[in-house]
Amino acid sequence: MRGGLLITAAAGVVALGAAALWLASARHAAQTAHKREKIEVLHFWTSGGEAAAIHVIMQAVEKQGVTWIDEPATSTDNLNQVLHSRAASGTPPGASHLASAEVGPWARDGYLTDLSDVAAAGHWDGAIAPSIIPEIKIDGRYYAVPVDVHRTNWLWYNKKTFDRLGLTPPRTLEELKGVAEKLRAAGVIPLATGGSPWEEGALFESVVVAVGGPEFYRQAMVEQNEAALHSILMIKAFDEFRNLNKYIDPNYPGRDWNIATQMVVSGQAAMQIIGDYAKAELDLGGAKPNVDYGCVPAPGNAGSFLQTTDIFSMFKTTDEAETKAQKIFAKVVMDKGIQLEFSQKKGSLPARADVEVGALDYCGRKGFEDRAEAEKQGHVLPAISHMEGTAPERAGVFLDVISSFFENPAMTSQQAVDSLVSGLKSVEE
Amino acid sequence: MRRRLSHYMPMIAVAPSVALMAIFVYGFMLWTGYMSLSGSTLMPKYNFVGLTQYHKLWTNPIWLTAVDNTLVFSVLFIGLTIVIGLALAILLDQRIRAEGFLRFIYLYPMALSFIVTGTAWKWILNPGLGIEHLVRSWGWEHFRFDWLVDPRFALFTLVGAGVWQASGFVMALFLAGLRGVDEDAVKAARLDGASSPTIYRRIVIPQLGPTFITVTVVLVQQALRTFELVVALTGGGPAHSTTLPAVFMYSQTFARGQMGVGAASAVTLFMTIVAVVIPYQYAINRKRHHDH
Repeated sequence: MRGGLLITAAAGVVALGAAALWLASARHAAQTAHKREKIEVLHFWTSGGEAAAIHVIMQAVEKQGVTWIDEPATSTDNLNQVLHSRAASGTPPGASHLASAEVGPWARDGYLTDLSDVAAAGHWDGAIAPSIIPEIKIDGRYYAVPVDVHRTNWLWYNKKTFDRLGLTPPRTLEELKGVAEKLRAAGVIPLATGGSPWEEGALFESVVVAVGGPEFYRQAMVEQNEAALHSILMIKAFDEFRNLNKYIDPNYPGRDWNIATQMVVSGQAAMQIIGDYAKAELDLGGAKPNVDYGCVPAPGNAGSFLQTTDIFSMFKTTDEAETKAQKIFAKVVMDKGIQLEFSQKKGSLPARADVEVGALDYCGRKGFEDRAEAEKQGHVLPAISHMEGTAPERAGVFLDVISSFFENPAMTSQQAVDSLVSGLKSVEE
Repeated sequence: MRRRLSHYMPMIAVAPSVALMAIFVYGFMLWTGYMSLSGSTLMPKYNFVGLTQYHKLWTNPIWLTAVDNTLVFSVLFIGLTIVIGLALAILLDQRIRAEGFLRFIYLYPMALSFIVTGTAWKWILNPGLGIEHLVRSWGWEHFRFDWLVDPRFALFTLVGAGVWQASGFVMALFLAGLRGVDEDAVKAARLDGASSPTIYRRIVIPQLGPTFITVTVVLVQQALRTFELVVALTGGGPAHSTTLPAVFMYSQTFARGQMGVGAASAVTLFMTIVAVVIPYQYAINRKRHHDH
């Protein structure tokens, strides 16, 4: 009987193989039947403003005669899961959203289409904001096309609450304390936040910049220099971060970031430190920038611009028509008009530094100016909370420690620094 | 000819599912085992690095927290589910009216996805939205029920939601077991003047041995692979107090680009489940041989 089972299994495998072959040939026939170029695009933009933004690119690409096969994932993790399994099975999508820190590893493993010819024709070197280029230009060749950037160290505040209480938005951590005490006395939650580790991470990053300045941020968070991590400034950053516990409401664990934004809109809370994707959420309720809500750099963050970039990489294919479609896609994404319209819809800033941004809203124009200024000083920095500028497993160590620290009042700043250093060592091996 | 066909028919009928199982269950298990011994990070790498990934796993503080959490969670979840499931089954076994309807109600949570019930529980347990808010609005201003956001107690909310979902199913299993108990022995005990609690304690429950084993095995593997409940209810927080091994595995593999470590945790989890299931299978097989 045991032999029978083996034969059964073997017969089944043969049958499955035959079915797969038949499907593959049918698919091949279908492909050759359609001469139109096509591109599969993997992304995770499904909410209102995001979906409208990707639609801008989709329409422009289709206008070039390329069929767009839309493949939205439900989250970044879900996207990674799909992308990794498809790349492993040899059928990656034509284009995929990618965390900028992952371009290097994918490119060096030979998965990505070289876009250098498109880049040369489009003069990308002079057009893209300088801080983005090292993330997508690997060993002198372009392996990704940038769409937009989000600034993560914004402070959003409810303007009506501030006006009513005669407050001005805090420029330093000291001022933040004063403002927060007054808000609390007035029965308003000073600082709204959600419970995701990346949100707490973004909050912490703004504190690191406020305490140590942009150069210290680069050494400690991006380069992860051990001396910087062990320095007194890092301890002080954790101390100041702990102090923020006082100004948030106790029910934030498990809350989504957009719920926190709604608390600011409704006046239940007064401020939130988060990226400008919050704008889409603010606009949902019809709130107007500089009327209902205000935007200023996070306390102590003027002059520094922490960012997360949205980029697409193209995956190598043997199909020439698809490669052609990929290059058309890259060219469309870099178009000035497309970059502007995309950013308008998504609440972000164009990745190109040479776009006329008069059409953006107040906060968008201000962000664009701030970035230009910060680029000159070299103070545009990757937000590692958003998986920028460092490998995901290293960013993960930061997020684990930061969220453990913030949510567990018993943890000391020294313990946090120690677990950061030992955690980073353990992923190094 | 016809006889030959009918001889092979059963094999032909099961062939596709056997083949699918061979590839998609056992094949991928072996592949995961291989990955756990490789240096895979973002993408699979087909090299061999020995037990490095297991060393990384067992020195990772979050994994150690997840293991502690799963011990506490499993013991409480399995224990409470069995106690409540058995109690419900005994109460339903009293030949009451509308038993079918009640059974349906108790079983219903099982039909819902953990994502749905997890989200509902999240709202009910959130101090600012759910029970605490409600009781306070009734006038008890100092009422506190903030387990969900307290790292010391959040794990117990997970246990509560899990027990709520599983106990109806366990009740159904016990009810089937109770219906199989020898009526004559119960009647005889009753004639001898034994009280109901004594009859259950001394005669009925000892006969439920096989049901207990089945229930425990089902619950152990359910407890060890709990994933959606955590994702929907707490996201693993606050302060990793509700992170369980399956959640760790997913985030290492797909969010952190540590496929080797993720695979090592999957294999560890699998071995634990095997350690529970194999003795069970063995016992069942032995019992079958005895019976025949």
